[in-house]
Amino acid sequence: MSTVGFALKDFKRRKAQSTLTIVALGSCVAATVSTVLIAQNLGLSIPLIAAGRLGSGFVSVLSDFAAVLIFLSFLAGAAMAYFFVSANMSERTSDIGIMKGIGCLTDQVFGYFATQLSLMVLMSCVIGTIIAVFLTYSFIQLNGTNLPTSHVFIDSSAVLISLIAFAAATHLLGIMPVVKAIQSRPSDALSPYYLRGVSFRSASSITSKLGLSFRVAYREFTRRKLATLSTVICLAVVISISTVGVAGTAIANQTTQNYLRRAVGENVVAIGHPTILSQCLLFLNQSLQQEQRAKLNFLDSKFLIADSTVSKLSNITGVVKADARLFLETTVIEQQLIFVVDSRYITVGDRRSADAFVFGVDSEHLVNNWLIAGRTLEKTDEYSIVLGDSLASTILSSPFEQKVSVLERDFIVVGVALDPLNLGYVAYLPLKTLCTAINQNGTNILLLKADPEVLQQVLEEIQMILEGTGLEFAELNPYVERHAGFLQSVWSSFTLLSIFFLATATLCLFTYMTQRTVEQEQEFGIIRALGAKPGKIVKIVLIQTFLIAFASGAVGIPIGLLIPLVFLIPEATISTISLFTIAAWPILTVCLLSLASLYPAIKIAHKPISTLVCH
Amino acid sequence: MDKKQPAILAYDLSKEYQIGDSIVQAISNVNLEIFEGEFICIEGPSGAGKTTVLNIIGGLERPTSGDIRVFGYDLNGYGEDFLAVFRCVHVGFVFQSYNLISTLTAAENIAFALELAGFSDERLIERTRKLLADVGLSHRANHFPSQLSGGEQQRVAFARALANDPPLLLVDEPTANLDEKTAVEIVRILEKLRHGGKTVVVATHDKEIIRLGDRVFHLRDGRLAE
Repeated sequence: MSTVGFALKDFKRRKAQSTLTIVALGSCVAATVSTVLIAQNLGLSIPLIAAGRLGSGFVSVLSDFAAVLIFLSFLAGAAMAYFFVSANMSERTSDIGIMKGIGCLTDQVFGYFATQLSLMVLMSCVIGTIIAVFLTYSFIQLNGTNLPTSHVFIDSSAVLISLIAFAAATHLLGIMPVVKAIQSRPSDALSPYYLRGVSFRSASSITSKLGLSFRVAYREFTRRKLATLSTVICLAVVISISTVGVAGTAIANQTTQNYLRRAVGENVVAIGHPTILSQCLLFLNQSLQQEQRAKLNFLDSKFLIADSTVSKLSNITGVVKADARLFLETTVIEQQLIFVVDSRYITVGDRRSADAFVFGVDSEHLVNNWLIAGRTLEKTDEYSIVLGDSLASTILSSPFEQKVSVLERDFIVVGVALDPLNLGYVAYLPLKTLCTAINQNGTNILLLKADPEVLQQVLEEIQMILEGTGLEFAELNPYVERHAGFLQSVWSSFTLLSIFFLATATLCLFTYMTQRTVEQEQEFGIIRALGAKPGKIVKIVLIQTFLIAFASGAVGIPIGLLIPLVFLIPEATISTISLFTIAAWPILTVCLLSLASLYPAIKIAHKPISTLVCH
Repeated sequence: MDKKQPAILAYDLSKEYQIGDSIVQAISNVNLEIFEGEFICIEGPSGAGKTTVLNIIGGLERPTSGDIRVFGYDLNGYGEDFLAVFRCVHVGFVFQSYNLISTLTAAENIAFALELAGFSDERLIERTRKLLADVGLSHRANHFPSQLSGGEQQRVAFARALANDPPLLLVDEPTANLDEKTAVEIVRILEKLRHGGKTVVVATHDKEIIRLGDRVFHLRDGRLAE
């Protein structure tokens, strides 16, 4: 019989097993490819969409997150695929033993099963890809209103690369159990104990206080080490990705919102000339509405705030800090770095420049506290500058080694801050230095940080003081919250993506649990024949799955939390909501995975015992 | 002379299996009356329906038609939960292919039946030791089924079936997979049981075992004759 002929006939005659394996493998392909496609639509396109709406610091956090999610989803898909192919091939070990026993050559046996593996992978890839494309379309269309994009694009090269990588990994990993079975002696391959990978270690006490069902489940868990280990590893990878997506996203969402609040300051009231104030609020709104700014002479004397007014406003009871600033729009230019290496001059940088808003600030009275690389301005600083994230990434290659030129003066970059103002195209330098550079004293915007408990009284007093001065005020909290809302909607896309992957993984696990339960049919038949009620079988299977889900969660959840906390989110904020998500996530995951075994458990509990025993 | 109570009463039992599109008649109109303490052999060629008869008596399968009463219980009238308790209390099974649980040691396989019956830990350990000693396998207590020979596995299966001291023992082809020497050991165990007051039903075509039977039923093409 030809190898293809054998493979096709075998497929046809083992309908249930073949269908189950193809469905399982197809689900893995669908999960992985659709995750790549959906992440591309949501995740990787977020930087494109958000480029005009978020600063480079935020975009960088989002892109890193999307890239890690795609990488992990592929890893999870490959792990699951290996797992299914391995389970399917393990089932065939006895057939391989029989074939070798009757004198079939090893090469011929290998040819039969390798061809079958290829057919299985090919069919699964085709089915999985069709499902993935369908899922991607449905997912984006159904969630269009919640997502930052409703336009679907299918990147055929991404699909192709995913499929080739997937098929290669599956072949490489799937062939291992075939080789293992072929290398075994026919007598070993025919032994049911060899097939089930029972680990022979000296038995402990035959009794324990944990109860019969738990003990049976625990024995199965610990004595089939190889099967248990591969299941736990596979599930741990899946749980890791889901944890990065759900708990990690919750933390990232809170943290990036916190970056935003830190950068602007909470309970801050801005005071200035109506024209200046509206410009300032426009900076904050940049991510939400892209309006054209009017060209202004920010140094016009009518925009300056009188020192007496600043003093009166600073002395209001309930004002914690008063941060008077002078700001203007100007060009920030990269200074070329010149090194001398072996008597030769090497130049770094090419005098790149960008328009930015430059703030002269008094470092002792800043109302905000940025997420900053480097340091903030200090009292003794004179020609030091803090750049906004987008400005730094646009004009500088090595911010802390290069200098910038502002208003024809050179400044050392001491910090790069994540700043939502003007999408990060901002620079902060000492107020005195700016005043000297423009040869003008005074400030054109005053930021007051108020005690939140007396905010209303502070606002009333500000209104009284400003009467007749021509100045106006605006509370910044609502603007910050609108901006935070935008960030939240972007992050929620990642959560949806992860929940989708977990749902697909649960489907795969269900298929696996069905396979595993079928494998244990005879054992459950014996247990029932000895007098166990059907309910006990369900209990044993549930405990078995719980043990596996628990062990996988114990490995996968900490890894899934560590990845965003250590590698993706600097200075992470863990709020009550994040804590709740982190606490609820393991419970939900373990319960969901345990429930995946309920159907096969109930099904097996109600099968005739004689059928089970003769399995 | 004491009139013994009937342990098993089967009337007009039939069992059909659907295999693909065709229906296979496993047994047809089987009538059976077995009294308490009797040692009964059911003899017949492979595929005659011996295992099906044992399965129906033990409550593992339900007949397609006919009545089956074991120790007064009408097995057709009860649900799965009751049948589980019934098997645990009244029936000991020895399967043709041993059917030991692969992940449990010899001692644990025996103890498992006792655990199901709700034995206390102390009694369970004591009873397991005694049963292992009875079948001459004390030295193999911590060995897994794959580490035991066919005869040893069959002896563990007997010990497990007798663990809960059930009044009815159903034994399916106990020597079919064994060599002559090992089969003799099993016949010895059955000989002991013959005088133990238990009702024993053995499906076999081993002449040595048939010789032990108080009565022998012949099963041919699903039909039973004494």
